[in-house]
Amino acid sequence: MTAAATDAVPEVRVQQADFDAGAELEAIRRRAPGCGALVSFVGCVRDLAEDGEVTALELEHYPGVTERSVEAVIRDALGRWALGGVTVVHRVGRLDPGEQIVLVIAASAHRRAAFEAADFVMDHLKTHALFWKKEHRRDGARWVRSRDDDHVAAARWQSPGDRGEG
Amino acid sequence: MSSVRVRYFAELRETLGVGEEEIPVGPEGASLAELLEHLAGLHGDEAVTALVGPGIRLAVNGELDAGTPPHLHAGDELAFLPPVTGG
Repeated sequence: MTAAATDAVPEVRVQQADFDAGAELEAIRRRAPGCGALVSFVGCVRDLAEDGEVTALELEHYPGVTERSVEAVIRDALGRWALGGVTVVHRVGRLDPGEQIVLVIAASAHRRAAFEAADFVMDHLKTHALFWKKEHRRDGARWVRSRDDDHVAAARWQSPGDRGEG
Repeated sequence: MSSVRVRYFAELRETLGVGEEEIPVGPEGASLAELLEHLAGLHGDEAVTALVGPGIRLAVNGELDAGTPPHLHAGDELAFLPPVTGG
């Protein structure tokens, strides 16, 4: 792993309100001049879970500590790729199917780093950021179990010589 | 009052029936075991079993997995965190 020198500051917001991906792209473009590539990912609430229809999703977090856990994921990415900035906006509270949950934007001089960093941050938000999801369905509500394939997705970023991730 | 603030999240919050509570401690503070014993008195053994269940992580004053079972002092915040499911 080559540590890229960067002054990029993680932009992290955890909020109940919806976000405007276009406005966030514009903001990071202004904040990170010289970046030729901006890659964004928006996650939305699916209306189907593995075993039934989802009527709503409820997201819980640990105010202050959750933000730091997201920053730690971003700092990890900043150490792996030469990035001009990373933005993460994650919503909490009750969300309906189709609503936006999470936004990740990675800015870099080149597209490859931006694509990879956005992918990395998203994978690690699933496994390292302090959020808890509850699915509401017609037949009741249940807390979502952490998924093995999410951990497999995050683990694929570890190669020999990489620092372990607890 | 000298106390440790204990916080529970997601299904633990629902199991315990409370999001946070203040547990009184003496001037020497309390070990995690002592605190759990106190919580068992308040919420029952089953609740404490959930708190130490598989995948549950601890945060002390917002620091995750602060190593060995922590010793808590008045003013500390101890959080019980189920496996995360964000993104």
